[in-house]
Amino acid sequence: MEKYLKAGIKSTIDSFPEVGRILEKHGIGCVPCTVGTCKLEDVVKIHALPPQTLAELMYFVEKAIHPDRKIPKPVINVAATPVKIASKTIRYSPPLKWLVDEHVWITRLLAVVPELTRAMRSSGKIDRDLVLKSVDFIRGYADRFHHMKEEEILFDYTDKNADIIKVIFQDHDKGRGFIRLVVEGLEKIDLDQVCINLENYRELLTEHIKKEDEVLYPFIDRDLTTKQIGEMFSRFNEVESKTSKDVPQKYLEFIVSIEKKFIQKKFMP
Amino acid sequence: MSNSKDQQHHLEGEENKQSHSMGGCPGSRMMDFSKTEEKPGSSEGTRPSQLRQWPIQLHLVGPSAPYFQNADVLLAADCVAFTVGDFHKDYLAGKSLAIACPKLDEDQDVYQEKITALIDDAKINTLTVMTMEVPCCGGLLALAQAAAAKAKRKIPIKSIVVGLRGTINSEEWC
Repeated sequence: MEKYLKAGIKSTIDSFPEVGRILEKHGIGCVPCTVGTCKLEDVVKIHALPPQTLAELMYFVEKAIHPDRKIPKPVINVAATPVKIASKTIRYSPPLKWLVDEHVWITRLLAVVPELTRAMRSSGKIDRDLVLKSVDFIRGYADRFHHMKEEEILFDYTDKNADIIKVIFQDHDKGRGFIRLVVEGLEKIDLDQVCINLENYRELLTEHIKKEDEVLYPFIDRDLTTKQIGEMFSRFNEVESKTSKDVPQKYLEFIVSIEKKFIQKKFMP
Repeated sequence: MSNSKDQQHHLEGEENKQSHSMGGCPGSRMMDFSKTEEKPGSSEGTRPSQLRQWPIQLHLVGPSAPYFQNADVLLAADCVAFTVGDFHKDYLAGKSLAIACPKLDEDQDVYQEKITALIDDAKINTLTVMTMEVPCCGGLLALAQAAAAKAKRKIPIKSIVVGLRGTINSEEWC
């Protein structure tokens, strides 16, 4: 079992698909992760499950990997175990809440991508202006404004060599790669290349944001001291003060306008 | 049990019943915890004070004091330190302190200005507001939030609410 605890989660799920189903049942969504290099032991630790749930989960995982083994069912003295009932609403410290709020704007662009690509495919033409503006939002807001806060500030407060952080870095790089291909597609006037890579970016970032909001941020938040929270908040403020005030405003106005064009229009009589 | 003791017990019971059932201000309502059983925990040894400054009363402290510069500040209602058993170890350690009573203290406009100055001039790192669960104590958090809203800098503010028996009822970032 030790071998699987220390193995990358994706390889374990590939060998034992039941493990993926067990993790999903316990609210651990590793199955769609494109990287999957996190170790099973870290994945389990990161979710801070109550002791009884954790014991059950490990029992089922071990049974799935070694169905022939006689594994004793865990007996947990619930009364003697201080079980912290996790609230469904995650409460973030102010700097982490700041990042979650930025995710909301990115998610709003991601929600428009299928409408944008559908419209371009049905007209057979690239909407160059809108694609360029979307790329500008992704590079200027999602990447420079948001991901840089994570890479240059947030990750200083955790182990940068932890598998989950490596996965986050890989996601960022992969996202940048998709956007490079979108721009290349624009230059070549290749509608398919533009649409496919916008869709790939959407799929990647949707999972990425979920991973951060539900797993990574609460995991980092748990170990932050009050002093670190204040420092991080102050560093975020510093970064923003160096940016012209109309820069984020410009991006947020773009989101509202693109939603008006595609989403609201769709539901209007 | 003798009659007189029974009578005394009955009268005490009546007094307790009255003090609980008559309502009035929860902040001044009489309650007696002395007959409850001793709580677990070590009573041996001594613990050093975690206080690293003087004065501490909000009217007396100055935002320019060196111990406030870039500090994590704890603004505690007067009753908090007497209620939380491990106040020094768990809440005061590593922080600069100001205490105030939002119910009884006068000139609270000065308090608000001082907190704004702590945020803008002393550039404090965080502000933790520790209050009792009684409704009047909520005024201290409201005062701190109003002061923070006036400040040019933005800082994280945490609210910790203490129960009358020293438990922590809630601890959250505002």
